[in-house]
Amino acid sequence: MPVARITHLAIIAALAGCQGYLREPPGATPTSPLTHLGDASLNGDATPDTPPPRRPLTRCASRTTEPMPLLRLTREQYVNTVRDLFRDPGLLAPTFAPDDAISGFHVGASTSALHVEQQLNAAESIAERAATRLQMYVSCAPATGDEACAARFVTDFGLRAYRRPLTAEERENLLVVYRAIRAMGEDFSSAMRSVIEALLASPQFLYHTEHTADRVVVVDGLLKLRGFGIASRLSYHLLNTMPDDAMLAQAGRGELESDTQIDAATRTMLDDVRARRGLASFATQWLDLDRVAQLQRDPALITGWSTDSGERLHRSIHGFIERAFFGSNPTLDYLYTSGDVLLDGPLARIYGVPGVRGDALQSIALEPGQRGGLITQPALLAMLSKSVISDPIHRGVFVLRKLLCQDLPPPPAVSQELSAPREGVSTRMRLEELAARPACTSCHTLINPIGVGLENFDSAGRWRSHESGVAVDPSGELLSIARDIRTFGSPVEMAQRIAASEEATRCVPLQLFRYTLGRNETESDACQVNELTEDYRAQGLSLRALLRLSTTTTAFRYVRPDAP
Amino acid sequence: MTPLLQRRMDRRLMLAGSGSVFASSLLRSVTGFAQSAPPKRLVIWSTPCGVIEEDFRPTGGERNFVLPRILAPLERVNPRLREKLLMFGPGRAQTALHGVRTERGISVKCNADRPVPSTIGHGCETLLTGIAPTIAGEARSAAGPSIDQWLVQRLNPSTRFRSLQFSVGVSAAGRNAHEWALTWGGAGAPLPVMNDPREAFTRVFSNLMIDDSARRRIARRQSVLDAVHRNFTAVRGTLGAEQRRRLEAHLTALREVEQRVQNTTGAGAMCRPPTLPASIGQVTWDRFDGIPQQVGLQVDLMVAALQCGLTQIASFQYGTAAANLAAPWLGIDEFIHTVSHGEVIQAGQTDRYRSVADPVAAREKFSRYNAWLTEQLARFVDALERTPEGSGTMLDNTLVLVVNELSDGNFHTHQNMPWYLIGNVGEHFSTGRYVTFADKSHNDLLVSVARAFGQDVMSFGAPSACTGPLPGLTR
Repeated sequence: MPVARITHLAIIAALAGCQGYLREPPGATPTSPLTHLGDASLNGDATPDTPPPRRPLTRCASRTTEPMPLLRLTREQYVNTVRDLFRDPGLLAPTFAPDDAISGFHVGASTSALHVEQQLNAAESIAERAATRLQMYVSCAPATGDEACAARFVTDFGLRAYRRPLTAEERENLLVVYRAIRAMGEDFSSAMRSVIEALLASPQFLYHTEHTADRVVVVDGLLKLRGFGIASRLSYHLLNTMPDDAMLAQAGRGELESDTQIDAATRTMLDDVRARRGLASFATQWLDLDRVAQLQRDPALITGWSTDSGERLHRSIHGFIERAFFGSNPTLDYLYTSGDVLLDGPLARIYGVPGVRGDALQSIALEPGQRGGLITQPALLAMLSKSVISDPIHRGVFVLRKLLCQDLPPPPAVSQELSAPREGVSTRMRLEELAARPACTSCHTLINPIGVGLENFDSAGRWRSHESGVAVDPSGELLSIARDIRTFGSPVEMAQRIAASEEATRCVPLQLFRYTLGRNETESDACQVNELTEDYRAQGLSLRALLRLSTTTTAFRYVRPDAP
Repeated sequence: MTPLLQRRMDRRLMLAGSGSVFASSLLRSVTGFAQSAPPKRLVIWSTPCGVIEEDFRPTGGERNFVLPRILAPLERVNPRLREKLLMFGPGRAQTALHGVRTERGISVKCNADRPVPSTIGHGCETLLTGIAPTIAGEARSAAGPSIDQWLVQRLNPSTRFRSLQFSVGVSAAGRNAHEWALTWGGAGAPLPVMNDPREAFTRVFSNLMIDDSARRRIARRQSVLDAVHRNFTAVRGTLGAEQRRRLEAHLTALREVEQRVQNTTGAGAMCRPPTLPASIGQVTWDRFDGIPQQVGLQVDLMVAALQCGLTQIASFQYGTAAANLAAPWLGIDEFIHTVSHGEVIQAGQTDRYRSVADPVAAREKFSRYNAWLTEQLARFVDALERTPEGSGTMLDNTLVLVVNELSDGNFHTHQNMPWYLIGNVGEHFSTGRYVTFADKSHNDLLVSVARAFGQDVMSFGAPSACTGPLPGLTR
């Protein structure tokens, strides 16, 4: 009987999958997915009723990190880089096959024939456009340009394109192209077009290889990045684009060598407005915010909704996150509990706030007690909804995965969809039917009590006191956090519980670590991720400080040499 | 380096009129000349979400089988197609306790020791690789190449494209590869797909018309590629072994593109590319209503690419379970995935997310949809069947492997997989038959396919799931 067999397996899988996240699963030692990131006392000795003890702020005994894979510029990095490289706002963004996704973060891990072909086509069309504006890039008049001029271009522009000085061999490789095209009887501009095309199609441009050619210091068997290597890593991490001229010049002058110099450069970068764009990339990938801009709702059900509301909500959530990282109170507490909601005129109409006009976002005080941080943001709640009804399951899963870093297994094979809404039956009751099914119990015991806590928000993230004709009971539980803070009676209280939990404290640094390195953490990263978390805690959970601290880990500043 | 603009004059296939692909005039206007030895081609045809067993599985005997509703379009489009079919199904055994029992047919077994993946079901990463995936968190990744890419690597065809991946409605952005990737170049290397016929058209058929300006463009690109190659050498020495391995993958892909640049005059000189209907420039494919036209164009482009000798290995992938496609042109407003789970939209509602269980209505819709998909397949193979080649037709030298990631879509089962073959590789398979098996692994079918292409292997993918080629398929 295939059906019976598969159901049976599904139960095993589901049990094995979610019980580990309960603080005290029946008959098992309490574990947390982050066990390996702390020391043994963090989970083993701690009773589930008290928050885990904080690890004393000591430095890791030895430096260690995983070898760095060879990564391609992601789609976004490519587009940002060519815009900055050519200083050409009119440059059309090329289209590329999607990047790989690692825990939701975009990584240029794999390269296929299609990618290569798209890169070649992009190089060709960008070079074609650049050749029409050549006077912007060369030091001579294009009409009378000669090989000396081409050589200067290769040295100067090449340094920016490769994010480091070219070797003599690399310079010659590009000049060979210049000569070959001139030999075909083409003019200077035409030859330069092919030189630019070759620059853009070369691995030195397409891959993050900056560290390989720069002078490195060996510390503890690891290569310490400095100069051009660290300039690129900082810039792609914080700004998601190539280093600017000032930074490259600094590297060239040998002013990015010591930790103090690198720290100073990091602070300068965080003051750059482009750091906001970098943050937006991180937030979008972490929280899956790409989906917000596409949201559509029925205007007959959601008064004031129009086709651009999704776009406006997208700006609203990014505005909020930007405040949390760069505002006057840039803390985890603000991100997870603040009552601020940013609305413009058309959005204010949807959320029932009179008197707001125009397209500028304003911080609006909605009814007190209704909003508390990220999880109650209208954009996020609307994203975590179906088209006309709320989606408590995905809201619960979102909290667990994204905010508490607890990766749940996929749902079991035998589809057990929530029953359709019906008058007089609350979502809570429908969820209870689902959780009662054997294959679903393990995970939905965790998911549902979070989801019901957000039932005060409808499919557009508007507040409601009733749903399906029944008064909303927003009380619930966060079963995977410490017992004394796990129950809540309202969404705002839930947000406060999340913010107070050790899991949430540890989750943001971990997500940032994954984003920075384009990989998931491993056992050997445990100490440095813990160190990052403790440094961040010592800074009062300041998110702005966390951005800076994330550039100080061993994995960020050092490279483990790959086997030769 | 091979000489630039190397001519390959052995391809004697000409496409006459270059009218509208959409109108299929192209397909009728193709004239095939005899070639010394016809190429061997493989096409993977994939649709998602399983089937209704009763509407799919043939009844009757080995030769006098009857095609039920989902497969009937094959015979309807061209009665000769029946003779090109090789259908598989479960045997029936007499048991002492339960009377006649239906056996397991062909099942996916290479996941047997991995209970978790086998229950998830919709993943594509084991189908054509025949090996359990590697798992990292939620992401699963193929642990080896898919059969088509394995053949590409073995056969090393000198065609303009080593293979082509056509698709409709396959959404890859932001998703783990196992959710969409059907074909894999190797472990962890999913092949991207082309959803948009305009993109496919440009990629496959541009550069085919060679004039002087095109020649100069090729010479120019060759200079660029030469420099890029030298730059690879320059950076290579500074990298470690694993980083070099990734760079090699890039270089292999680059060589493929390069070969295509050099082969441009091969098919190009003799083969006139199809043209897209002028109206296509404005079409957006994001609405379900555009799907039939999109499928029609992709099928036509795939046919033309094969006819022009631009590739010998191709795949067509229609959506994924997660792609949430509906089929309003068939009166199916539900997401197909929802329908496959026995649910339809509540009466009087329009919201696709408000579905209720109605197995009878859902079954009817699901099979209506699957029959439509078979009709598209029938159009494709019929075009090959109508193209003379050698002493037979192109379909006699094109093996189409029809796959689905599930058998029963509601219960996500992997037994009695609804896979079959249509076409042939020369006279390798004995077709026009319905063959039953008690309990075979789908790896064995992949072995049979590999052997049809001259590969002397007894296993493919996970050796533990292989017993050799499926018995009784060949002449």
